[in-house]
Amino acid sequence: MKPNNNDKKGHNLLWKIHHWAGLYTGIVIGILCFTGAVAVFIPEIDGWVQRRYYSVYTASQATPALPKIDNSFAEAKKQYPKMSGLLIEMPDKPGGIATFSFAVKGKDKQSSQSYSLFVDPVQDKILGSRDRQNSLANYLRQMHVRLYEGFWGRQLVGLAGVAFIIVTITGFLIYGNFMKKQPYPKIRKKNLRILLADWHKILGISALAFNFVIACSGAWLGLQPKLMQWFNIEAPNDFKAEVIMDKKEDAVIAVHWDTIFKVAKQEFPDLRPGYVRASEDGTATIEIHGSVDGQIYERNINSLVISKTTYKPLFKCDISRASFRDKFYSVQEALHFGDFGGLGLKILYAVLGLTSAFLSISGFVVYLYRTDKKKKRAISPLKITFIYSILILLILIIIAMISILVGYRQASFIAAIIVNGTLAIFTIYAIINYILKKMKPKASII
Amino acid sequence: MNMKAFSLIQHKLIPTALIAGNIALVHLIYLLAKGDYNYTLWATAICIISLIIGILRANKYLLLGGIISYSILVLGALIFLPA
Repeated sequence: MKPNNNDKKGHNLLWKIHHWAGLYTGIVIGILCFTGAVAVFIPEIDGWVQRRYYSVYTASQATPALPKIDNSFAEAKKQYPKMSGLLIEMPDKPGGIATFSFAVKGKDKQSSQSYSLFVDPVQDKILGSRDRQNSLANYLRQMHVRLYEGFWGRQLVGLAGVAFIIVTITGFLIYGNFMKKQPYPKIRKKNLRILLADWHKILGISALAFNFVIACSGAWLGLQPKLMQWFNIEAPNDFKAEVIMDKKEDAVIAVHWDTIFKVAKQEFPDLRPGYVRASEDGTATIEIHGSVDGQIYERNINSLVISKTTYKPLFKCDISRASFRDKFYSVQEALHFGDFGGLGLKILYAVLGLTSAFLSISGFVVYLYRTDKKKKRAISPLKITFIYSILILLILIIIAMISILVGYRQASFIAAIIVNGTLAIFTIYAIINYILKKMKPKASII
Repeated sequence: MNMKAFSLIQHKLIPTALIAGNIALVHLIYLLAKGDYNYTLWATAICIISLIIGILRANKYLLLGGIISYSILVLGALIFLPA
């Protein structure tokens, strides 16, 4: 049975889409897959850094019925009386450390300082401190979420996610046509181009469902702030409390955190608090966000809002009782980061993520080999790919070093120049190339 | 094996089995991490074994059996999902 012309045209179009989408966004997809493979371990890496470099341990591994942080909070308040925007993060495992993150405002933005104190929630004492923004965990998150670029980095990542969806779907549709009589998982070793092309096809189809889920959830997470704004989408745990007092009056109300945890346990017994914060906007509320063990939903999506004055519950968001739409919204981040199946699932995610990074590299090498004769390059395709990969790796390491050793702001500034500069140069190059091609007279057929 | 049967197995059933296998593997690890050693875990494990053998031996019946049974299992799990 011979394929008809329409089938052939359709496959050619799909291949062209796969080729161009992969070529123009492959580098970003590769960087995101590589950083994502490391980013799934952020909590583990951060825990290790806390123990190794800040020597913070809890005295007891046993889980108390309720955490105790009142004395630590009083001590922190004494040390930093002008603290604002306090966020208390609770450990997700027994023996873990709680953190108090807050800012002490200066005269201007430059002189404001952010602090993060390590607290033992069993012994109720402060163990140490660090600059949260300059941590390795923050670098990994910011690099994967927004390429360390604060203005539109997140949207760029979202668009790369859209391109990843296109590449995955077209890859699936053209797979059969490209395999022809080759059975799965046979790899031909005729030459490097065929070898890499075969690995590209075999690994691509083997990790297809994973790549599709990662691409869809990544595109949503990247474009989420804009999409929510444009289409008026509300998060399931959104609660708009009424302003009932002056902001300053609200900020100075004394909070008994141990009582808050007791109330949370009574009102939402399954909730494992992830972070808590008190209002400073005149609503006089306390938000407790957390997770329920065994659920495949975003970390800390369940929430309970309590009145700061009466300690009575005002709002409760239990995702297990929410609508399908809210459940679907809440499942995206967990699916993207593999945050629901323990360390085993994270290892699987990391391996599959690295596989996806390999797909972008192998696709690029195959493209270079295919166009090598036509373009007459001075360097071999493999060398070009090696130089690009090392260059990208170097940039990632340099930004990480600046972020950890110098500061987040400086690293973000340099990353913004690199990301926006590369984007501008690339766009100008593509436009000039297009115009030159259009201006070039076509060879006449004799 | 004629080209039609080859194409059905290699170009359709194996890619579909790989998609089902991806989902089933993540599902199995999730159930293991949760400590949920009930019939769903064993059924998922059997489906994965069927899919793997089906892919490696290019066996149409194992592939179809694995894909269909896991689809029923996952749909059932989604419909009767407690939380």
